[in-house]
Amino acid sequence: MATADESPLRQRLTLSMDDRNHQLILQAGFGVFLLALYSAFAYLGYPSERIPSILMIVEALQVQIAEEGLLGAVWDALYAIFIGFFLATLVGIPMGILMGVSRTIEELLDPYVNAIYVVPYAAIVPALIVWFGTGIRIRVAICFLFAFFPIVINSFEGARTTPEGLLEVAESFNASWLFTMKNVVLPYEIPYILAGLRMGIGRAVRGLVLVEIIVAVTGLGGLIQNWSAAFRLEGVISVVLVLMFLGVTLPWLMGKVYDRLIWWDVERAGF
Amino acid sequence: MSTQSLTTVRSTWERARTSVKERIAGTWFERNRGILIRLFAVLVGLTIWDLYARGQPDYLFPGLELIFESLVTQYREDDLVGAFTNSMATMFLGYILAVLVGVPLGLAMGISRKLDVMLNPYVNAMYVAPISAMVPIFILIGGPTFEVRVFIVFLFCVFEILIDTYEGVKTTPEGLLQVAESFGASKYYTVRHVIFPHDLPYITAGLRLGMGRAVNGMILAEILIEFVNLGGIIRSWADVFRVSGVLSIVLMLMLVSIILTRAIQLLERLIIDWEAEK
Repeated sequence: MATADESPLRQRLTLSMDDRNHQLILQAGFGVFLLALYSAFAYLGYPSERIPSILMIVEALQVQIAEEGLLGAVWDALYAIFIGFFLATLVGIPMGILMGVSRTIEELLDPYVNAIYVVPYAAIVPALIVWFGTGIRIRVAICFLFAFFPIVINSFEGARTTPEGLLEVAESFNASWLFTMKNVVLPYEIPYILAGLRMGIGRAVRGLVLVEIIVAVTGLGGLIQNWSAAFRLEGVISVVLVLMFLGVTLPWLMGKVYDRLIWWDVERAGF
Repeated sequence: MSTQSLTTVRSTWERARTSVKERIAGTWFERNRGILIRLFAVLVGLTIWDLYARGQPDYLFPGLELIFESLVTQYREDDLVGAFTNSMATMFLGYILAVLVGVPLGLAMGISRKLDVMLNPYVNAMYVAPISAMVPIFILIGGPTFEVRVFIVFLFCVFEILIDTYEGVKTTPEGLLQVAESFGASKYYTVRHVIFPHDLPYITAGLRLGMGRAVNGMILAEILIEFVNLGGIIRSWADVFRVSGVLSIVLMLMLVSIILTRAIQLLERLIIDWEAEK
């Protein structure tokens, strides 16, 4: 029942079935429009004769899964992403918490945390190739560096903004430092940490993609390189679609995990 | 160790701490404490780097001096200044195009419900998706040209700017909109005087984040698509395994993106004087 003074936000939350169908039609319609536009370009051969039809891309994907070990390459990529991400979690969360709790530690570490953020990664990969080779190690290293920043910053934010009141209560009950950490700071932190993890996994995938296309010798990047050396755009696009698919689904999955775990945050937001 | 001596140690420590705190209170040291500690941390880091580099071969792990020397060599032999100017020109062209597209489209998406519903999933997917994955496609279609490089920079930052602008419109306080409505303000007036001022800090945040992405996009395009300018220099040094030349450019780019981000921050503070009142 929509009354006149209901805000648009509320209205959006209480969409009727009709509205939702309408939305879906609009969104799907735009998707079909994009595909049609692409097909038109492919048919006309503009701006390049090499633009493949959608059917050719699907075929290229099938060929690669059947013959060229696409799934194996995807598996290797996922492996590197998770190792890098895991290491970033191991280092990043404690570091963020320490920085949030102590001002001196924050001041000591923040030049480095910020430096990690502003490094132009595309530029440093050639140096990292010399240090780590072109295999799994460089992938893990870049995924680590990419995932590290949001994880540190979010756990830092959470620890720093722990309500003074809570800390004072702990102090007045003479709680030890460890007890305060475990029972006051950490529970308050968890939504922040999880938000950091979600951003971190997204950035880890980006890091992996960057390595794949710059190194371009092994793995998914190697596949792209092979196809583009043969000027077969359909193959290139099919691998790129796989990469972009990873980039969209992994953060989405992490978001699902987040929604499952942090059911109490919904109450806090006032819904 | 008994509990007794542990408490003694503890109280001595506490006393020492408070006495140090009192002594430096209000002094020059305390006022600049943040900067001093950060400087100290950076110095320690650089020293460790340099000491470690001494035990390593130069091509693999160059010391600070060598990195600086590479910069001088690049200045003399590789036309560093020209490369830098050209790189920046590419970057700014792509960045400005992204602002010209991203801000209006973000506003439009925030204001028009229909456009929002239609574009939202696609814009969000592109925002999350790794843009760099698409670079090989553009190489094959467009070839190694200036236009393709500008387009890559554009793609790298446009979604960041768009999403932030959109966020700003969407978070306009309900109360403000209702006031505008109850005074019978026209749609244009509401957008111009209510939504846009609220959106401006979000837009500048997008501009700031987009800047970092633009630097990354520019250098990626130069390393992968057309070996020119700064990316070309990086390529040529990396190909002969001289890491020092890569690191010198990396450090330069870091400095550039810090300066540019700070500049946008300053601009933000100049334009937005009403946030402080809130």
